[in-house]
Amino acid sequence: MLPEIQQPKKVRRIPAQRDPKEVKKDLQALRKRAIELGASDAAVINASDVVFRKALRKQVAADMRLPSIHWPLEYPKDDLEAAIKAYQNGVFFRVKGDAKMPDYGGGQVSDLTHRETMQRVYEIATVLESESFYMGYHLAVGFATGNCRAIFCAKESRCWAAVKGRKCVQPYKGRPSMEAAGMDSVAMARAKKWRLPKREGAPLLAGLVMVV
Amino acid sequence: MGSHGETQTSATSSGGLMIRLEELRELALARGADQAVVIPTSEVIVDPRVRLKCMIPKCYMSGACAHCPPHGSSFKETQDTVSRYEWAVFFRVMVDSSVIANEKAASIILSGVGDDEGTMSTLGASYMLLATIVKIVQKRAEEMGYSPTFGFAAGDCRDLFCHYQPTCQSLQTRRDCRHPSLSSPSMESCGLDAFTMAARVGWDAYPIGGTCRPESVPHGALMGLVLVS
Repeated sequence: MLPEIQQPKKVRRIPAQRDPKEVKKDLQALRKRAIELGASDAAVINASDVVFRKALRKQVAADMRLPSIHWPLEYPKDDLEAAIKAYQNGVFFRVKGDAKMPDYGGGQVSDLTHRETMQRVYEIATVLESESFYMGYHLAVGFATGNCRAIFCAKESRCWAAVKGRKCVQPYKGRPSMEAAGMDSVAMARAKKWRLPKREGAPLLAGLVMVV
Repeated sequence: MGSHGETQTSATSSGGLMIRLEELRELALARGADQAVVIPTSEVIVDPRVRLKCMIPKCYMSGACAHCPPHGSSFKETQDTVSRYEWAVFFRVMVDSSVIANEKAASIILSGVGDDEGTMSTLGASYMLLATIVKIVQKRAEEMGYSPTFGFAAGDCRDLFCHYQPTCQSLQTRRDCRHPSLSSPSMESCGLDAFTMAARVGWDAYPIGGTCRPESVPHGALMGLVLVS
């Protein structure tokens, strides 16, 4: 069982200017933390390494089996890609899953082991996001994989966060996925030369935390 | 007064303009801000990441108030607004860490039921104070002839002014806001990075989230901004 988000031991003051050496050190510490939490691969990336593919968001929007606040991800007044590109660095990671695991898309994850493997991606994303936040990176955001409603709220009649004025029932766990934000994790993993699942249609269980 | 404010005001204090801006800064202090500075709008930070942060992880008020993302002013609209002004009065209201990082804060805010210690009333009063200072500074600036002004507070106005209403009227019915003379969008909801701005004028600001506890931070801070030209 992975640790839940903990009370921060130390909260860093937000700096007027960031020290590049400290940022580099922090990013490496976060990369190591991802591995410690169960990621099989993790890398510090630049915003320019993030690959966007418009078809992904369309694909997500077409899969409305379990619509949620994060599936599809609506950001109508602003440019989501520009907002993500405004970060400089992040930590990209992946978790290895069962070789036979199908791509569940935004639908129910029927197999408990598969669900737990996907949960691990969310847990790593949220722990890294929280730790980055308290390190003084107050704009850190985390992305996971799949549809958080299918992973955490499959038994709920609806996604409560999507109801105006209602809160997410799993605020420390639920995050949008990379694909819902239009990020092509497969292309990014390939660029990092990570070993990808060989079977056609096998999902890549990847997450990303943009830190600074 | 912060050292940054002294630099800013003394740098151009020859004109009547700066004297009037200094009056607005003092007014913010007199009305309850613990720090206030006059800054040129070139020092106002508009960042596309800030509105994204309102949504990831989703703030409970995101989508529920006309000022909060994904509604409200987009990053580009805010950039455009700021570019039309020359000066800004930037101020801070300090909040005790036992209040802003209270363990029960999130559950009390969401349930709408106060606690016996009164911590949530104090937190609400701090947000209310900041929102009121924004309006007072705007009003005075307009009396001085700076019109129009533009004000930003902190947090969401629905919790402050429409907590017992079922919905945000301007969002749900496209009718006007119930409290236009009280409510302002927050700095963060419009993409203004209040925390980095605070750090750059020499104020200490700490990130405080749901898992933060009073012993981890010396205090919390709410920031407001009034644009004048």
